Amino acid sequence: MEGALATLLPEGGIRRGTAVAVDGHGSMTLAMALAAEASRRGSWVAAVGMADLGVAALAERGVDLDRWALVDLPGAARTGSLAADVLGAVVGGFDLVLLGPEIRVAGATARRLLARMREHGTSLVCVLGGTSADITAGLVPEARLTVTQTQWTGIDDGHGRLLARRAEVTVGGRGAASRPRRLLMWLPSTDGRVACAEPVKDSALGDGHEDVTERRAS
Amino acid sequence: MRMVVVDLGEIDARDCEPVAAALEQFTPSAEALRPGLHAFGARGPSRCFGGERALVELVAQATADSTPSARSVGVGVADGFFAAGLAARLARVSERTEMRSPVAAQPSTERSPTAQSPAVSLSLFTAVLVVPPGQGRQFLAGLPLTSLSDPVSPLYSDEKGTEVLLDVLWRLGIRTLGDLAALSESDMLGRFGWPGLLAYRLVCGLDDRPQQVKPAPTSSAVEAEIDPPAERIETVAFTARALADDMVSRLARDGLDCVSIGITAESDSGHASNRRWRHEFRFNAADIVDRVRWQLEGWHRSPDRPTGPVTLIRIAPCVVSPADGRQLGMWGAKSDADERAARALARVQGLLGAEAVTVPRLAGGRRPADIGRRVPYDAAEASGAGGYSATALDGGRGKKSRGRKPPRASRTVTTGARKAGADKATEAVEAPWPGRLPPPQPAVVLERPEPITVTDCEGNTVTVGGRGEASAAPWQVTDTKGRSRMVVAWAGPWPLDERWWRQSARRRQARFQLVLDDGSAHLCVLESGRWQREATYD
Repeated sequence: MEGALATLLPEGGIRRGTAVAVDGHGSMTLAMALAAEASRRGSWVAAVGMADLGVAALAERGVDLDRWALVDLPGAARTGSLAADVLGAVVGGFDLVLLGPEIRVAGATARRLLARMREHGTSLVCVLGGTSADITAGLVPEARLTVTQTQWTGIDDGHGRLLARRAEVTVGGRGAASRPRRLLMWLPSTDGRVACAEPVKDSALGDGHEDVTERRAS
Repeated sequence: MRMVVVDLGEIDARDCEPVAAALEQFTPSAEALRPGLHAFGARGPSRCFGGERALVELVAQATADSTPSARSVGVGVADGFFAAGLAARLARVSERTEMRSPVAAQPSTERSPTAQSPAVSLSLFTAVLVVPPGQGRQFLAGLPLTSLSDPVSPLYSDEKGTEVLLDVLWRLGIRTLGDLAALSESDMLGRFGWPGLLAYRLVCGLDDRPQQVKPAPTSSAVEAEIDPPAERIETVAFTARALADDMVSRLARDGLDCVSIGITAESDSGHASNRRWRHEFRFNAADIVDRVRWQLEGWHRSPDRPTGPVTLIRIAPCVVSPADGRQLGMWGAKSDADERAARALARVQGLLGAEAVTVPRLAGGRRPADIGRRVPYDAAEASGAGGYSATALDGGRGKKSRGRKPPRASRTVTTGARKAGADKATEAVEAPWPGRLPPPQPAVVLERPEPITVTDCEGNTVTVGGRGEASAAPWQVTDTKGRSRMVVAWAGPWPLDERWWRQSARRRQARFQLVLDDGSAHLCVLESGRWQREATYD
């Protein structure tokens, strides 16, 4: 994984066969950046149930569009057995799957899906899109990345334009990720990349939080 | 070999079944290239129906009677499929433009058939053009160079290669097929390789692959019983995909390409549909599945439609030719991962329908929804699009961020692909598109823009005047459910006036970027007095 994303994820990347959840304003950009990393290494990526995905932004993140497929799930098919069948098929053929916000997979189905993911070495990125519902109840994610406190630069009251976004990403989850961490990132930066932001000037972070940027600096 | 080609233009697969049925009364071996383009050999049937001329007129009449609506029909006869196809096209087009003009009614047979010779109008919507035997070369000589990329040309399926070839020929000053035929065969082969030789042989009126075509070995037919019987076309198509893969790979093992296939479908109720399909170049598995879909769609609309579900599907190669040994590029070959993904997508198409799977492609445009589009997976796979998206990406970025660090990774790909030739799609993407918003592009582009209300601090809706100025600073945004957010930062309005030259297609809007108090940023658009949220910088 590229610098910023490697620091973000507990094991330096998404482990094959596991799920990661992203949440908050900026989750789509973060998910695209994760997928772009896989795509650059030649992996096939499918986005399921993401009718609103911005294709132009996808290209901007550096995704290889020739190895990207979009599967539209109509409203009625987002829950239940059809969704499970579609996900089962997609998981068997792709290295990374992005899952849209409104898809629900229940307990037993989710467990079967996880088993299939492990078998094929497929990773899953669930974009929760602010709903923060318990979709992941069945698909327990290894790590959960939440974008908090975003700040756009370049735009002001009536002039300028959106240039770059500074965001704080909180990482939580199980195993190696169980210790919550925070990281300041550009999502994206002015040159269109996802990168680490400068260390916080005010480093008085809450208890139990390890400031990754500080650690890297030292 | 004398060929008759019937051209109906762009037509829906469902509407071409009556035409196929009408042609069956003349010959058992009528083949369809695609819906609306049918062909058969003229020699046999013309003996039974009183000569070529009489046959063609009967065919034209029968076709016109069986077409669903008042659409123009062209029938062409010539030596070889390529010339006959172009003759049919010419007949149809001239019939449409010169409809009922007295010039068009003059018989053309006495004159030498050139591109200018009008086709004979039989009735209001039908025209025939007969190119006398041995005069194919003169007929072709008058046609424009672009005829080589016509759907009836064997070069049609290699879209990219043909475009490069035609582009180079054009720049060499060659404008008509006659100019091309005046070159020497060895020069064409030396400069352009195999496609050049094929193009040369075509314009000289030499039928494509004349003697090598032979009947297929019967053992290579494949069939599958569908159990439980399939109610939906998608289910049959899914089964057909596996069959087609099997058949194509079996033929490939014997060093054969398939140019014509027969598809049989049987239903629970005892009905059967039997059609032959021809490919202008050679069939691959995806092409075959398309033909199965077209045939079933037509069958389900025809008078003898099946009353029960489909129980059996059989695909048999009718005519094969030796594989010409074109090799896949060193990097163009499909890897295991590609095959795996393609299989998964075929399965998903079986579950949700063919249109549920799309692939992202860049295109030209100013609005986010125009820059990045979704192309049906089947269409993208058929055109074999590869590489141009990488080019497009860097090209677009390079233009937008001049002076910045050059983008990484695919730089070499870009220059290589750019040298390779004029790819129209890439050209459109790389064009500057003044008025396009600079990066970053919004990560969420709403499929259906959401109506919103944007008000100023006094509660009035913000408007944009004729001089392109906002009436007041946006203060608050309210969605349809009544939830409001304060605006913390904004920029705009940026006017956009597209296609002003055509009233019906004109779009005039003012765009704003609004950052709300929850940290989200949106692209909002004011168009004819209505505010909409078009995209989100998520």
